Amino acid sequence: MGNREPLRKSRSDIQRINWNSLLFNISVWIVLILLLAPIVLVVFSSFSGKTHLSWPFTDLTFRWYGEVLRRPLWVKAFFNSLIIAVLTTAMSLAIATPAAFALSQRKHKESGFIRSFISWPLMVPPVMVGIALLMFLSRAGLRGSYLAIAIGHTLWAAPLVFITMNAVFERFNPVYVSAASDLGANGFQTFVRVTLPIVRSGMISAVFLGFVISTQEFIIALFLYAPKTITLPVEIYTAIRYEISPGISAISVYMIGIVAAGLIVIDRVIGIENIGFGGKG
Amino acid sequence: MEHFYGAKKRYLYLLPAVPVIIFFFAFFVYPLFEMLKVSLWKSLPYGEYEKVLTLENYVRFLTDPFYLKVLWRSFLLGVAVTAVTIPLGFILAYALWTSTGLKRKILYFCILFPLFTNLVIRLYGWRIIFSPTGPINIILQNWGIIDEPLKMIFTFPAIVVGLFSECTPYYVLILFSVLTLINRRYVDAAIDLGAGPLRTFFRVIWPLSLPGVVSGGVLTFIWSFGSFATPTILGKPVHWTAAVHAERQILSVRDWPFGTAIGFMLLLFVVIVLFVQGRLVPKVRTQRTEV
Repeated sequence: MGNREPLRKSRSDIQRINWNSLLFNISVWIVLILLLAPIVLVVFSSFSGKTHLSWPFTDLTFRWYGEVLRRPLWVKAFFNSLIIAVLTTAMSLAIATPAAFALSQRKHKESGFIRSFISWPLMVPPVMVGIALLMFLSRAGLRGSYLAIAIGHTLWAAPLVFITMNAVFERFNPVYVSAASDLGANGFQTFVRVTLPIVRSGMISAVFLGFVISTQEFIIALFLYAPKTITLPVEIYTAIRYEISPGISAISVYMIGIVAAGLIVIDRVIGIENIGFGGKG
Repeated sequence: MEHFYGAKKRYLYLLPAVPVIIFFFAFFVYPLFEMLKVSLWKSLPYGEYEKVLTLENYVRFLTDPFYLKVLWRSFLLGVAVTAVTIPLGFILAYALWTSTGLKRKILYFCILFPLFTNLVIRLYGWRIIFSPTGPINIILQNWGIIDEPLKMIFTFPAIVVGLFSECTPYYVLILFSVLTLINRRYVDAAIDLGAGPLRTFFRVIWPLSLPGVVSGGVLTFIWSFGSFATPTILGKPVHWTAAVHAERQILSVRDWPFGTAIGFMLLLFVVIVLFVQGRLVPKVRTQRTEV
């Protein structure tokens, strides 16, 4: 280890201390298995021919995929989740994007405070947010509406959209805009040809984040839903407390499929590495 | 007057941030404030309450050994999950940092896919895995290692595993964003000066990555301490966290003053943890500049 070598490209040095040892690789595999195993098992179990799930899943069949689509309750919940996700994404982008732009321009004491204020909802246990909104929105007569659940989800999605967009705007150099106008581009051309391409990848990942956060969230929804606005996660949550069955697996696989498709599209459009919390590498 | 206008101009750039501030005040700060008021009301039987200010609910929570135990167990759960997540998540973030090309893409996908997959679905997957007729039990039985199915579902370790897989993607991404800020030349310098891999790691990389470890670790702790879904799906009532008890009091017992008081005890804990983190992080920063 002590042998000195002449300076070389940093990349190779850093890889030399990536103990390419067995232990390190095994640990990485264990962590990845822990992350992915539950999803893989849900997918497997959806093909089980038996109504009661037990390993190994035999009599493989696709019938649950058709069966769940004939249950109006599940279909309703699925579309409710989509409606609320669209509302949440729109609201989060509308309020978080301007703020992210403003706070990326200058770094004063007060902008630091506002920055941390915007991340507060991430720190408060969602059960608290659910209880507080339940009391407040019931009195406003909004309990059980799509808007009520979307407001709750926006408290969770807006901070993440803010963090993503803030990183985008901080990388954005206003010199490009003035260069474009110096070279004779009008405002519209500058926006379409210069500004938009630079912020595009960030905006796409912010939209994706807002949408996915909303379709995932169910604790706030659990407090605020009414039977006609029940979301898919709430429906699954109430179901799996009492039973595990291939039907639930099948509806889950529909959602897993949407996420996987979304990630692949994102990867094609902007590169999967561009999703994250402002980290680039 | 001039001074006044000057001050106004200085804050003008914050104007676009006003909508989000209003939104958060209307739907976050104010509802929490109202909730605080309810937690100070007198609780009566059968979901009734009297609007007299009293600290009764908090006293009840802090003097009842049952609820103190609940709080203690929530705390232990947070500690256990954080203790597992910090080293294991570090390994994954480190693998992501040092990988390139297709390998990095695949690792990224393996982290983002669970992150974006519904939590309820992932918990459902754990229920299948841990169940008495699940793959682990059946395979171990077929191999003759065990006779009776192991009791895995509805245990404390099951909840820890569930929360670990829930928090790790966030932890890894936060840590990774800090790792990418490390100047790789420091690592080169250490190696060129003759430090071995372990020494380079503990003297250079670990201190520089501490801000990420601390903020990711604190988030992990807060989320598992205040977790709701995982303990109800993978645990028994005996494992329920303070958050679950708050929900039960509100939605089942309908004891609003007591339920909200439990919620605020939870929040108080979170604030204390964040305060300690605020104390801790400046120290980490000075360490960074020294290196």
